[in-house]
Amino acid sequence: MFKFTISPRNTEKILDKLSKKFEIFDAEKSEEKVTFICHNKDRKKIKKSLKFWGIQNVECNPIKTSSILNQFTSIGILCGIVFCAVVWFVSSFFITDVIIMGDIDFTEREVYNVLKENNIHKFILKSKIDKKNLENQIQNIPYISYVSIIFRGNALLINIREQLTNVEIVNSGTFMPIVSIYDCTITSIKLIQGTLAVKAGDTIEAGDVLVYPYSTDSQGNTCSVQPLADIVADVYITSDLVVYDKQIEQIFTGNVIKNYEITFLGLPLYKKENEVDFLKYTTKEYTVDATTTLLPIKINYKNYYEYEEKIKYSNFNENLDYYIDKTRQTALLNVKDYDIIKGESHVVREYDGYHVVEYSLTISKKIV
Amino acid sequence: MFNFFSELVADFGIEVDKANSFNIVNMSNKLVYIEGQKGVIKIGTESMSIRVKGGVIVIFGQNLKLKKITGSTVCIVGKIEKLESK
Repeated sequence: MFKFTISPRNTEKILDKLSKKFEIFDAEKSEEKVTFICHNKDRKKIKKSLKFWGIQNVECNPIKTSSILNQFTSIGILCGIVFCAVVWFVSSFFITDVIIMGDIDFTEREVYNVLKENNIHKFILKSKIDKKNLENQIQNIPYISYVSIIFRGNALLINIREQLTNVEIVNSGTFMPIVSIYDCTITSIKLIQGTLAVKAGDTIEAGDVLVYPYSTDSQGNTCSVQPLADIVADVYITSDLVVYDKQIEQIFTGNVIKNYEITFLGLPLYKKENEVDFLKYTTKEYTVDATTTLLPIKINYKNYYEYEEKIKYSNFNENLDYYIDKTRQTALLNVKDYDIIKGESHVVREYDGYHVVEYSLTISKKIV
Repeated sequence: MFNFFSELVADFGIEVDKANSFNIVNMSNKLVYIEGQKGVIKIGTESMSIRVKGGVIVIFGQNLKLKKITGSTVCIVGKIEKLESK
């Protein structure tokens, strides 16, 4: 919109004339000046008309408006927008790029050859590309296990996954799923083939399935495959130690009663049997082969060792560090050299008459 | 296209010579819309005169302003006090 300020001799007549040709807004008359507003498109014509009618001192100033729509009244901008829209619309029918994604270490050249054979290149009409046929042709290339072709914007996106070596042998038969043997929290997964049953961040127990032995293709068909994956998890290794507040200790007095029996071919020849008068004792039996070159003789010993019982009280709190370390060493027996210890913790539980020390190690481990 | 004045003519069965007719709408003494104007005779803040087919319309009021004027219509806003048709 533009605001005109003019000083005509006959205000009404000029406005009257202008109104016959143009739309005039907010016409005001003050003293000898007249101001009015007109559309952008009429600006030049009004100026020309005023000049033609001999009106001098014409002021014409643009009115700032916040509306974006008003900017579209410019024919140049409108033409630009229309032109861009047309270009965008037309270009949406063409592909401007061919992108091959995925693991293509060995088969990239073959894939490009297939594209060349099908005359697929940049700036070709999307409608001329038979995605399904192209998928089948690329799928026939050796060592390619998975192909997916889609249009993303103006790009033709070909996603390819190569097979593993000897995959035809690996993938024949019936396969068992990969199962966890640890209680753990999964931190990273790299699936090679199969279908994942878990995701990073899942906490699983021993026996839970990690990878199912099948995969699903783009058509939704499932096929049996050898499940393969690299899965790293935080594994929890625990050990515990029970410490009783009092223990009965056996102290041997050193008194021993030895009885024995001499046998010949299993038949008793001589037997020495002293009376055992110990209150508490433990026995040990063993046989000594006293066979000579002629006589097969054996001596069966039975010794009685006297002992006394003594109650030993343990001071758990004084030796707590020792017990914790002992429990830790037990837990460390299950840690391999290449396992990374990420965290350690211990818990001491007190019960009636005994304490339990539990030690927990968190290790980062490749579980599959 | 819907035309308010054409609807009125049809509803009340008035015979109007379209070539020499004009229509006026006064909205709450705040806006006067004149259809069939033939030219502006006088512009002022207290009175305005508009030539119509077959006469002159004079609008009296305060702070009158010629809001919009085209080849056949004119819209005047302000505090309208009186309308005269001569």
